[in-house]
Amino acid sequence: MIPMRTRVYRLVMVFLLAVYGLAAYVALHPDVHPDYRAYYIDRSTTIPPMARKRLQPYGAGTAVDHRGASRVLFEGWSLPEATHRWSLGMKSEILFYAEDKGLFTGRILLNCFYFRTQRVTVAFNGRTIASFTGTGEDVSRIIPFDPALLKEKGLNRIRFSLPDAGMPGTEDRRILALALREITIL
Amino acid sequence: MGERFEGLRLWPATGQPIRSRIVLRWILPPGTYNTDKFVWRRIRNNTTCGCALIALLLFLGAQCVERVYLRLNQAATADLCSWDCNWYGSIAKDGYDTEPHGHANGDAANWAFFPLFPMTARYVGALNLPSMDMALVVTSKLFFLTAIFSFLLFATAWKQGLNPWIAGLVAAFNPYSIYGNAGYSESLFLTTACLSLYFLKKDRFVASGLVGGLLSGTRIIGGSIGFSLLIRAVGRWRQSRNRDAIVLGLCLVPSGLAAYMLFLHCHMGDALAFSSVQVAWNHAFGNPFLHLQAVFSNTPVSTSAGISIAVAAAAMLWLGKTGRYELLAFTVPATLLPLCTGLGSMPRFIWWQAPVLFAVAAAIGDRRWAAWLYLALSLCCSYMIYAAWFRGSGWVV
Repeated sequence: MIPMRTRVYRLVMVFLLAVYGLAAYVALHPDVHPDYRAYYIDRSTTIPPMARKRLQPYGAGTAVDHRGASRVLFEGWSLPEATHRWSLGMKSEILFYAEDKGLFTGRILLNCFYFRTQRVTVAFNGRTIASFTGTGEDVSRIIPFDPALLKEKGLNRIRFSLPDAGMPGTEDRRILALALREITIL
Repeated sequence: MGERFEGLRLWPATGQPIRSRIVLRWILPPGTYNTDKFVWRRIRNNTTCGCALIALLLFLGAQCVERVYLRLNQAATADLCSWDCNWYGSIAKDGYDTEPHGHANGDAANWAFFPLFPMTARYVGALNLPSMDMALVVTSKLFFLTAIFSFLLFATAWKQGLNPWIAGLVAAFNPYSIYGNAGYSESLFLTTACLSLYFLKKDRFVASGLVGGLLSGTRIIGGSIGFSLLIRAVGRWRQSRNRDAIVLGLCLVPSGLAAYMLFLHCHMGDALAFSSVQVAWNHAFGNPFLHLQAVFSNTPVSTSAGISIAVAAAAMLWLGKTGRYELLAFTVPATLLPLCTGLGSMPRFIWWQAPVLFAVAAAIGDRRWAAWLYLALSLCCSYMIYAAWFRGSGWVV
C-alpha cells in the first residue's frame, strides 16, 4: 500500500511535469507578430517594431542627418555619435517609405567619411546602382538611380555592401567602414 | 542583582553553547544589564528568536546609516526609487506591457522583470502608502529585514560556530546594501535563496523546492538553486527513505519560472520575452571570459565589477575547498549567467548572493579587526554608491 503522502507527492510531480512540458512547448512556439520575431527572437533586424510603426514617409529632397529622425531607419549601423553614425559589419541598410513617388528624380546625395580605404557597392531595392572605392574625410558623392525602382507603398532599401570593413583596435571591437553624416534622396 | 550580562548565547545544538559577545561587548557598557530581567535571557537559547533579534537590531542600525546617507544627499526615501524600481513600479501599477514602448528606440518593456517582487509591492501599496514608489521602497526594506534574518538562519546552519553578529553584519552592512532599500528585488532574492538553502541543509527537500520555486519567480538566476538541490539529492539518494520528497523538491524549483512563462505566452505571445527583451538593454549573450577582459578598462563599472568578481571567485574557491558543493553549484551559474551579458550590474548580482556573503562572513570569523575593516570599507563604498545613485550615474544600476 502506497502511503497517502507519497501519492500526493507523485500527483503533484506529474502535474508539475505536465506544466513544464506545456511551458517548454509554448517557449518554442511563440505567437507573435513577424516584426517582433525578427527583432527580438531571430535578431535578423536591428529595427524595433515600434520604430517601424512610427516611421513617417520620406519626401523627396529631405536632408536626413545621421540620427535619422523619424523619416528613415538605419539597419546594421552603430549608435549615432556626435557628428556621424558608423556602419556595422559588411552590410548596412537605410530604409524609408517614399512620399509621392513622382517627385523623385533619381539621385542620392551622400555625405560621409571612411575608415581606411573601402570598396563600396550600393544597391537600391536589390538593384546595384553604384560601385566605388571610398577613402578620406567629408566625402560628398552623388549616386544616380532609376526612380522606377522606388516602391510607392512598401519599404525602400538602400544597401551598402562593405567587404573591407575592419576593427579599429582592441578598445573598439566594432567592424567599421563608412561613417554617415547626412543623406538626401531626390 | 543576578549575574552580569555576558552575551547572547545561541543554539547549543552540539558541544558547547556559542557565546556571541563580540558586538555586544563593543556596544554595551559592562555591568549595565541584569540578565534576570533582561529580555536576552528568554531568547538566548532559542536560535530563531536570537536570529530575529539580531536581524532586527542590525537592520535598524543599517537604516540609521541610510538616513544619514539620505540626509547628506538631501534626498527623501521615495527618491531611492529609480532605474529598475520604475520598471517594477509599472508592473505593480499597470501590470505587464502588451507591447514594447520604453527607451529611445521604443524597444524596452517590463517583461525583463520577474513578477514576485512587484506583486508583493502591489499588496504593500494597498496599505495607504503615499505612492507606488514608496510602496516599492518599503517592500524592499521589509525584505531586507527578512533577508538578514534568513541569512542568519542559513549561515549558522551551514557553518556551526559562525558568529551570528558577524554574519548579520555582513548582510546588513553589505557594500551594495542600497539595492535592499531602493525598490529592487535583491532583498527578496536573498531571503528566498537563504531559506531554500537553509531547508536544504536540513534535508527538507520539499520546503527547499517550494522556496526555490519562489526564487525562480523572483529572478531568472534563481533557478540555479536547482543545481544545489540536485547535488544534495545525489548525496542523499541512497540513504533516503523518502525519495519522492527529493524528486518533488527538485520538480518544484522551476515552478515560478514556468508560471511566469505561461503567463507571458497568454499575455503577449512570447514565453521567453524576459530573455528576448534584453536586446533593449544591449545585453547580448556572449563568452563570460571575454567580458572579463574589460575589467581592466579603468572605468567605475569595470572597477566595481572587477572587485566583486574577485570576491565571488575567492568565495567559490573557498566553498569548493571546504566541500560545500551545494552552495558552489548555486553561486557559479548565478555569477556566470549575468557575466555572459557583460560587466554591467555585476556587483549587485554578486553581493546579494547568499553563498558569497556566507564566505565573507566565514572569512571574517571572530576576528574583530576584520569585522571593523569590513564595516569601514563597506560604509565608504555604500556612501559612494548612494552619492552616485542620487547623481544619476549609470554605473550603479
